[in-house]
Amino acid sequence: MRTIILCSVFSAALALAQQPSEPTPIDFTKVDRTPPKLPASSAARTFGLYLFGPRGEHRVWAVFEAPAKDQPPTALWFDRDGNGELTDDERIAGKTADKARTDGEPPPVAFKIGDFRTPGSESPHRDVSITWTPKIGTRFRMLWRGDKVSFGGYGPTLDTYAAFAGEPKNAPIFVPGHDRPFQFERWQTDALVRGSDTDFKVFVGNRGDRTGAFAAVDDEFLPDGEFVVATLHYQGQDGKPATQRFELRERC
Amino acid sequence: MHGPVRAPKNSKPGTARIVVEMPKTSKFASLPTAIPVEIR
Repeated sequence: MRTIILCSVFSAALALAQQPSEPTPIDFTKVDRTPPKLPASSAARTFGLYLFGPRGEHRVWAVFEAPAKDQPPTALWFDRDGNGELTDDERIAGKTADKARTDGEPPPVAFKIGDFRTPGSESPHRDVSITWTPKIGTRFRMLWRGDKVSFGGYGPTLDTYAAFAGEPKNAPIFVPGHDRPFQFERWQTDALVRGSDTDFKVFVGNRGDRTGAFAAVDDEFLPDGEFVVATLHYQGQDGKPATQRFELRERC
Repeated sequence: MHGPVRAPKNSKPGTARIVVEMPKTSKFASLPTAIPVEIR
């Protein structure tokens, strides 16, 4: 009898431990930023970090190399196997955009990574690319698990898009994909004018560690009938808190 | 996603916030995200 009771208690405890915990935002202050191992080089390097997995537990470093600081990168190291060592990865050459810019800035440089699989994922991510731009940050794009688009990093305005950083400890952290509960980022919304409609626009996806590092799904991701709720929390003239609920149903 | 949001005429000017989330009926989970906005 005692054995049966003990087994029951153990089973109940095991079942409790296996229940998914309440989803929480990733605590970026606790993300391991141990610098990746790189081949010796005199190139100017900049760093970005991508997190994969339901809890963002898999780290993938990406490192640009440029001939000198403040010059466009010519090569990318990408930690395909997520082992923190780029010495066993292929050095990827960049492709500079053909179209010349009229503002005198250097053109974007695209780095095609192709397909790669993160630990624990059955399907590879496909058509993965990272693009350096002179003014709107460092952009990634992929078909998440070979299916839906995931791209970023985005911020509320173009000038907030995050760029790679000169030190691993300051590298922006991006969280691609859609295997976590969605978060949201505003997009170019003006102030609300009392009594008038304002078109309130949001990205849907995962927040990164800073403004400009948001990873979004595209406008075709949510099936027809799905929408987003926006609840305005404001103060009335009497100073009392109040709320008003709106449904964001339109797509760009 | 986007859509019209209207601050009521009787709202107080200043900083407010919009909490964005998926509806309870959605098959997608979300972490409610508070976004500061200005009311004029």
